[in-house]
Amino acid sequence: MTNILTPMAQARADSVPMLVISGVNERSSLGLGLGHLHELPNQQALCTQVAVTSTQVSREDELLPALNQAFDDFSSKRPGPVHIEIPTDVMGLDYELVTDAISHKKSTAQSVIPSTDTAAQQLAEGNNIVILAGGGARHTEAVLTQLAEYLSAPVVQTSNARGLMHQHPLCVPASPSLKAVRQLIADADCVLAVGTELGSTDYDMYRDKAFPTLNGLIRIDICPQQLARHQADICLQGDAKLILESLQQELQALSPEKPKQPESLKSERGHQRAAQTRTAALDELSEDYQQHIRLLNLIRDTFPSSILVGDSTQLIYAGSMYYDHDCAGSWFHAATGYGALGYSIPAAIGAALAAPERQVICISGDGGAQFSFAELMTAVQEKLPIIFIVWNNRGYLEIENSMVEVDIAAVGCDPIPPNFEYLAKACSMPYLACSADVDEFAVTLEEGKKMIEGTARTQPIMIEISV
Amino acid sequence: MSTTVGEALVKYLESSDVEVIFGIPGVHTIELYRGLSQSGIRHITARHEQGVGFMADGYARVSG
Repeated sequence: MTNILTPMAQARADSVPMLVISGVNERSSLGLGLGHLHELPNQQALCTQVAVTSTQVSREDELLPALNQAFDDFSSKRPGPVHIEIPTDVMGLDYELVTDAISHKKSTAQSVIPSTDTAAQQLAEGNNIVILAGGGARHTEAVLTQLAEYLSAPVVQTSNARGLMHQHPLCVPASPSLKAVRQLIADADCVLAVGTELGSTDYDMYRDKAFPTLNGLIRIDICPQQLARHQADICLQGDAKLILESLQQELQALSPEKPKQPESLKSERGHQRAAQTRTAALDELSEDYQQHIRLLNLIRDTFPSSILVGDSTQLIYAGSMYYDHDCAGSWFHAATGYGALGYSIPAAIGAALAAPERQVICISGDGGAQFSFAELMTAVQEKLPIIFIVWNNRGYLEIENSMVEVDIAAVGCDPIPPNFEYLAKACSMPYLACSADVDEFAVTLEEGKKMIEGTARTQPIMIEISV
Repeated sequence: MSTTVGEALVKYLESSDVEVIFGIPGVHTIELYRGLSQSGIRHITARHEQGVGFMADGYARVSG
């Protein structure tokens, strides 16, 4: 059980629905400390700290309500890891499941959403609106775009929202930790925050606490506890898509004569504010980061509509700062949120299983890869055509740089990487190598694409970029 | 023929359209695997329980 707590914490931080079913020792032995296998002082209490809920099925007839509750919660609340533990002496008890009693499949209840008229009024009066989109907005693309256009509002995106409104003139796929993005937000007279916890790994990555006050803040979130954590003028609790649709309708009702396309002057100004922010945000970044972003763009353009799964590694850190993915929900990583190293290789495997027709590209550093490269064999065994890119800078370079910056002699940042070519060979996986030069990487990616197609998408490959 | 809690769990997941599960069977969980081979659910065996969780995370983000 303890081995899965880290992924559960990651899922909790990023609101990912996950059902974790575990065993636990037989009921009569719990809490006695008698030295049983896998014994913990109180496994369920431990899990309660990380899971959204943790339930023990201590009798056979408790299985059904526990599962019903878990599935109901996934569809109606802020998602997260749900834990159900079954004692070893309960697992084998006789129990007949009546499938008609599976309640979540029968649920026809419509989601209730709050009244949006006051919020619509405030938005209608705003002259300089900015939208902050988080992971909770990733299924709202059509209405979000419509609303942004209607309000001429630039849309700033956290990592989990990237891919929304790709290349749209109002899209700002840049971190709100950057000065340029903060300026855009500070200048707004009304901020609409959709499905974002306003967490520091997106909004204050450098921990300088210089994030501006959010004027006229309207928050939309499915989670009431989350809404209570920040001061806001208006809180709208419920499904983000439904609330945005309601807002859009209210706005149109407020000014029925207003054409669907906003007046060109205001629209032009919105586009201008977004474009200026994009340019200034990119200019703020180091040449190294800008180079990393060019590599990410190259991956995206070589494999359109692919799924990019990242670890905590320099390419991904750069992408967190600025990267415009081409489809929503398809760029995710562990560099923001809980921040567990070793995330990308197994998460890419899960992604490839969920979308076998799409190209999945995993980007890890040599450090992060060493946390979980045993899972490469799972990709081989399941015949998943993932491209595993290893950014090999021979150590924890980002951490080393951080230590040096504050005058700490770098210690512990130089784990020797394995020979990745041999590692790929040991996993019977085709291997390609290149430098971080854009042109060289482009040739290697094309070669990788041919390899994947050549094996009829039944085999993963590895590309090592030596930095 | 009567079934067990472990078999009922598999039946529930299958009835709820769960197609893929991630796990590593161990002595503590073998009874949860009874009935799995007869079901339509695909079981992915990870190499570490941390992998199990991260795989489920990646799967959920893409399928949900």
